[in-house]
Amino acid sequence: MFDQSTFFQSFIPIIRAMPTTLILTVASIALALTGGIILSLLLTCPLKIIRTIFKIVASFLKGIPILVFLYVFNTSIDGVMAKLYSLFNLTYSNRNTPTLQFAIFALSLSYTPYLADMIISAYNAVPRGQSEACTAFGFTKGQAMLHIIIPQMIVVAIPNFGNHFVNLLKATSLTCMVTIMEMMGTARNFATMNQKFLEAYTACALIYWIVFELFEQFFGFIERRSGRYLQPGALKVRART
Amino acid sequence: MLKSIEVMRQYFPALMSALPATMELLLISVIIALFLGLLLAWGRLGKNKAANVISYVIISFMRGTPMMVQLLLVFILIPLVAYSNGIDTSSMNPSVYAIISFSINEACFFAEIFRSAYMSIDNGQIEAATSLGMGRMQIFRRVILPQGAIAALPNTSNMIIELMKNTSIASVIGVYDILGKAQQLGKNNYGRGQLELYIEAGIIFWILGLIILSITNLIQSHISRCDRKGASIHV
Repeated sequence: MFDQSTFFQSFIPIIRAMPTTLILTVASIALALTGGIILSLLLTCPLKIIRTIFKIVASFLKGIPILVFLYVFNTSIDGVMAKLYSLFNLTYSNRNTPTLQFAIFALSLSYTPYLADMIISAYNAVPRGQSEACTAFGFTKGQAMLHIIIPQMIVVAIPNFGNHFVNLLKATSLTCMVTIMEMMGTARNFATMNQKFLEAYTACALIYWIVFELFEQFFGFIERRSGRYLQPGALKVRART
Repeated sequence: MLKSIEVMRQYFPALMSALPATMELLLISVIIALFLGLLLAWGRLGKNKAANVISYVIISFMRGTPMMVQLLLVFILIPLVAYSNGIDTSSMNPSVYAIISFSINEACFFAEIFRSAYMSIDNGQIEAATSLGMGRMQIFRRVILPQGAIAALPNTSNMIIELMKNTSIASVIGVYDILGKAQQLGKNNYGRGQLELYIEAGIIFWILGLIILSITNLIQSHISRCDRKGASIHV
């Protein structure tokens, strides 16, 4: 039932596809972080109308499965790219579609509201006295943010960020449904080619597990290191979900 | 734009006909996962070394691998095992595999939540219950469960909504849930109206999530009516 040599063989193509997975993860989390910063600013905007609108938008983005995002983006590639090319009077050929970029957009869009929440909760976790002290010292708002508030926010946000990062790493496996050859897609391909499904999927699961644990340990290390100065029990917002 | 809305309106009943499949996946998985999660949490918290190690490894594996890999593994492994024992699974509904995989996966997340909820209960409560002569099941039912539920419900409902979104992955193995139905309908028309169907499926998922959220808010305010700290949850 379980063919060991195929099992070990299947490691090679899957590990070769690891860079694609990592690129997807890192690019998506970077984009999502940018989007999250913008969204968190909009969610805490003084104007009530804007706040309400973006609250609905955030809840909408949170409520949609990632697979739906991927399908929506994947089916709209041709239309969007053709429009974009015609703006610059170019003709778009659908030979080499930018599926990877669109998958990155889809993944980052689905993680944007979570990261916005993370940023808002990190901002709220910094004691109000800190910014008051900055005002007392004559800091401008930008200076206070840059030198006092943001460094503390980062420490508070790291555990949550690590959670989102590893979740996103797992979510990249869904992109194989839109023909991207990352680890899962390669495993499926290998399995279909050799008709050895169990071996390929087991290998894929093992590699995902190892990568996940490595990142988990890495973020745990950063968390402990960056939080050295914290009193035990203070400012802890660790949630293992 | 008007045409898209017309397409959405036209396919709405067909998509809603797949709603029971999604709800079935979700409800059965959650119910199984609650029991399995309690079992795993008990394994993690108990004094039995072997149970502790086994449940730790299971939880770590389930947290560390994507749901899709788990689903495909279950989808491949169970028929193979059943076949070697002489059971024919070819006529089995694929949603069975989805339910098995989702419930095991969800159980591990529940176990972590239950464990932290248990640890948030003051040990003095359990000692007081023991000194009153309560049995172990009695302590669990009368002391641990009412207080633990308040602590665990917000995270549990978050995980249920997350699972509701993840049931769409079941469409990969050919379960006709909402997304699977949308895919099928789109392919029936050679890809026409595919985008609208996907967006519509997304909107249905969003509304489902909001409904689950409001239900859990009601439950939360009911069970924490004696608890001053218990407030409604925000996602």
